[in-house]
Amino acid sequence: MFKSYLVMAFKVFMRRKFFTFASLFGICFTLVVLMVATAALDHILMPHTPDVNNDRTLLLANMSLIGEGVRSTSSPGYRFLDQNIRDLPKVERVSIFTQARPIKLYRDAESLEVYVSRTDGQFWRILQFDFLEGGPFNDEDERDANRVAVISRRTEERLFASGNAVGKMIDVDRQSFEVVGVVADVSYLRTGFSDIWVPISTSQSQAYRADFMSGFSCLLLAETAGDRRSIQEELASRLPDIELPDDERYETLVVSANTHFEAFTTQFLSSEYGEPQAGRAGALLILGALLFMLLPSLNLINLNLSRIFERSSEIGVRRAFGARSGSLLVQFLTENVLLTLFGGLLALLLSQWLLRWINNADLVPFVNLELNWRVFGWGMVLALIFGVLSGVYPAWKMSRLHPAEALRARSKL
Amino acid sequence: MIRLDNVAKVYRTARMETMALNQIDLHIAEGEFVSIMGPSGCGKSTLLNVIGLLDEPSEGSVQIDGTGIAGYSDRQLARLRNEKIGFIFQSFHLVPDLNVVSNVEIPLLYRSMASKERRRRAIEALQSVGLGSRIHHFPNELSGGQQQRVAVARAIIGAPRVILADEPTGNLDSQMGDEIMAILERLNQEDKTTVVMVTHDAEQAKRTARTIRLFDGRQVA
Amino acid sequence: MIRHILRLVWNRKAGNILIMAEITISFLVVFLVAALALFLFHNGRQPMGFSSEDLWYVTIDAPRTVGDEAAERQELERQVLREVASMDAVEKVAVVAYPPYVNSNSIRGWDLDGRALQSELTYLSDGAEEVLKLELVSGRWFQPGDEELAFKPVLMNERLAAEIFGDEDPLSRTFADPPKEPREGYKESRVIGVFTDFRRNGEFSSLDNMMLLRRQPGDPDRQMYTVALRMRPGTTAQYEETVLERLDRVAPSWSFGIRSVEVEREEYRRGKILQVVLAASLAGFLVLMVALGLLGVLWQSVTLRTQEIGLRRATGADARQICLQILTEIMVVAVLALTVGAVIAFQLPLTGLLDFLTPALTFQALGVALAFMMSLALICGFYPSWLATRVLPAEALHYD
Repeated sequence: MFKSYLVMAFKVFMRRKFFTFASLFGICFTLVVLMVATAALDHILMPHTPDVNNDRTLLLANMSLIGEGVRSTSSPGYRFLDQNIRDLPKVERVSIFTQARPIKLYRDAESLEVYVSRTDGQFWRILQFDFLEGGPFNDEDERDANRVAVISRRTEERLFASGNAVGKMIDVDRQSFEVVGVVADVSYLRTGFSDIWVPISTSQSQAYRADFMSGFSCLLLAETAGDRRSIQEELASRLPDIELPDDERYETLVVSANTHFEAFTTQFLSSEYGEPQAGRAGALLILGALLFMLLPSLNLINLNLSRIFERSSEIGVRRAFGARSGSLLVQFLTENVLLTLFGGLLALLLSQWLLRWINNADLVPFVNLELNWRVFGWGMVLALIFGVLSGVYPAWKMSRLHPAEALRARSKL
Repeated sequence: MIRLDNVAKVYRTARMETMALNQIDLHIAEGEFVSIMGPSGCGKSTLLNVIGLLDEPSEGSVQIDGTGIAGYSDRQLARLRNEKIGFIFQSFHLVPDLNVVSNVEIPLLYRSMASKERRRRAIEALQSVGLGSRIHHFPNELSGGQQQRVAVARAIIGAPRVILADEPTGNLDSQMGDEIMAILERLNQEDKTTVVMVTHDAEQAKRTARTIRLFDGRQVA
Repeated sequence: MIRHILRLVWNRKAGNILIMAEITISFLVVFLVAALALFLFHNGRQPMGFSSEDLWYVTIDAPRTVGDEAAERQELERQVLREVASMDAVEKVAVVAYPPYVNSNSIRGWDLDGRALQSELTYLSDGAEEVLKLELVSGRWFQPGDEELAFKPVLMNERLAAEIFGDEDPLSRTFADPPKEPREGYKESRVIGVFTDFRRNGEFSSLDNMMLLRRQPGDPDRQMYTVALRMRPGTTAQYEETVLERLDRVAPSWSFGIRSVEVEREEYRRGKILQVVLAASLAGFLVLMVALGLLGVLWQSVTLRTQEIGLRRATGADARQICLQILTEIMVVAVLALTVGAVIAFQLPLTGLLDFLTPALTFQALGVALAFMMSLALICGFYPSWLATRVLPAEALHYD
């Protein structure tokens, strides 16, 4: 029976080529947009090199000091992180590092802008970089302030035409560092992004060690994904006891350790104290997708509806020979879902091509979007949702056609 | 086999009511060959639709094979139609997107049956109407008479006890019309299938055992 | 005739309502994109108020300090400024708290006679107007010794001055109520000058209120993180390294960055144009999809009405009249849908979600979107209408 639906669907699509084209055009366009958006979200949210463990990590990137009528927000300082984070229970590893900062390197007559991040040794244990040459620096390098650096592939290409950067020297902030490792490029949108990574302790001044606020981020690796909740609670319970700098002015300290998704959502949905907005963000994403599908769905519904009467004879015959209205509903819904799934496959090819173009044109610097099986899966789910959304009403309308009237085939719109 | 008691059918629109059928009492025994005649617009097709459970009467009761259908759900009606009734239409109503054998299979789609068995029976039915060699053609590649024979095959494939034919020869020339009539008569005599046929043609009506005449929605003979 | 068509459309309302919904939503999409494009176009024609050419700025990455360390920092700040000022290629130096294209800002909101007012603000050191090349309209700029005044000197852009004072002369006027419990050393703010504008995010940014406050040298509350440099014309990017090297020598514990405003401006422009191109191509595809859909639906409906059309031909309608009739029907549906769309579009500014939609902009975008959608409906209707004229009366009557 199902097979006969498929055959029927195919026949109908082939006979009315313009309608099939108009439908497919809308379906493809809709799904390409949704798939590119999915690819971007996947790129931002799901585990990818280097933060392959992002289902177990927590990020501390913001700190607020709040007092009567004043509020000061910045990144946490080294002293705060060093003293209060390392002994949190159920934490496997802790890394303190600076967010990547653009600097300029001058070679010959041109200047290159590259990003530099200062990190500790644990950074390389929590994040799994893809080392092309050499390896990371470790805790001893950080302790002894060794002038060593890891650089990205892109940086290697720009600085050393011949490749093989390991063992060569580079200048950062007017200090010389020996390259010990080369890693594959990291996306701008991932935790750990930079072009050059050097030990924190190589900073020219050690003043950062005394700072309570500003300058650093901290990544925690929990023992299990489920432990993150209790770590967040433990951190929150410790905050009131921490002595604040300038306590005449400030009374409250707010620091939150966010999961990757929470950290992402707080960037877009501002809440008063930077609390995670994961639920709201999820709802907004779904709402946005549905809103975007509204017009394409209406379009497809109208196309499908306009063809009810053309097929009224078929509907009448099927009804006369014993089809329940339910079977007709399933048949017409199947036809539409089939078309959207086919459109989904086409859209996947088009998205692949579009993403390659976006990457090549460097529309978003340092970002390489790609399709993977997860995106493919989501794309097909979206196609299915779209197919049902745009197919249910026309199919229902068709299945409800009165058999005697359908056979009379003298239809009034 | 078919029993109508005091059946009326009224079509209502915002401005007027049309009485399509009025006080029809009809009893058709199993194995009968009955024709329905009357001028156009007298309610012949409506009567056939009511008998075929495609349309519900506004008043009165309809019994098929001893069971009243009052209060039947869409699902129950569909099942009755599927198992007991086969339809033939004046304008054939073949699905243009399907080839001949697929068209004939349609009634069996709504029964649980292996697709091979379905195909076998469809070919059998087509052979019995003399179209065994054209099973892969599409309707638009066939003549009117051939199309109607496909429709007959579709009507008999489910081995229904009743065949309802709405002017089956109305769109055909007389020779093709005779062929269709011959098939219907054979079905009636050999398989004891009850046949109810709407017709304009007095000659054809004479060939049936009984003729029911309608005028303005009323049974006049 | 038109009444006849209205009746036809009305009788088919069930089928038409979804098509109308489709046209209405497409109209809203076109309206929004047109509004965005017009918004950027209008803004692009307004002056930025400053000159981005040969303007650089240095960013300082150094911790905020309090207490004793603050004095140390102030000393370093002075040395850094002196060092930069002494460079050959640098014409003039000033502290600008939020230089052009820096992605952070400060907004001040206050209540004026029950009216909520908002303005962006930035702190400038004396002489910053020459570095940024700002244009004074009336009054004067900040000058050394202003800290001795009995009030806090403030400059406003013309927009903000007009919003607060209307046609009156803003000079020497105050504009905010004093706080209920004034802190020690509170001074009320007074306008000392009006300048044309300082649109930090360049020519495509929105036209907003802006006020300038004076940064006193060595103010511990306003530590120095950004320094703007007016370079001699023709200075190349290579010179950046020289600046950084010399600053490193003065303050080795600080990290410095340097950027050219002209380069930033180019990047920002590219980003904005990309935004519009993206929105427009998205809308373009949506509209193309809708056009194909409409064409299909109308085509189908003409096919279904062969009989009616044949009848009209048989009763004496000529091809032109049939074509006109079908086309008019389509346009009636479109006009109804667009009327609904226009009503909704007028409500959009009220939601407050689209703060850039001014009444004037709404009208312009409405005009563009209406014209666009009407031509779209006309184009989509043309083929089916022509098709209708090809119906022969005999063929139509045979159809039964």
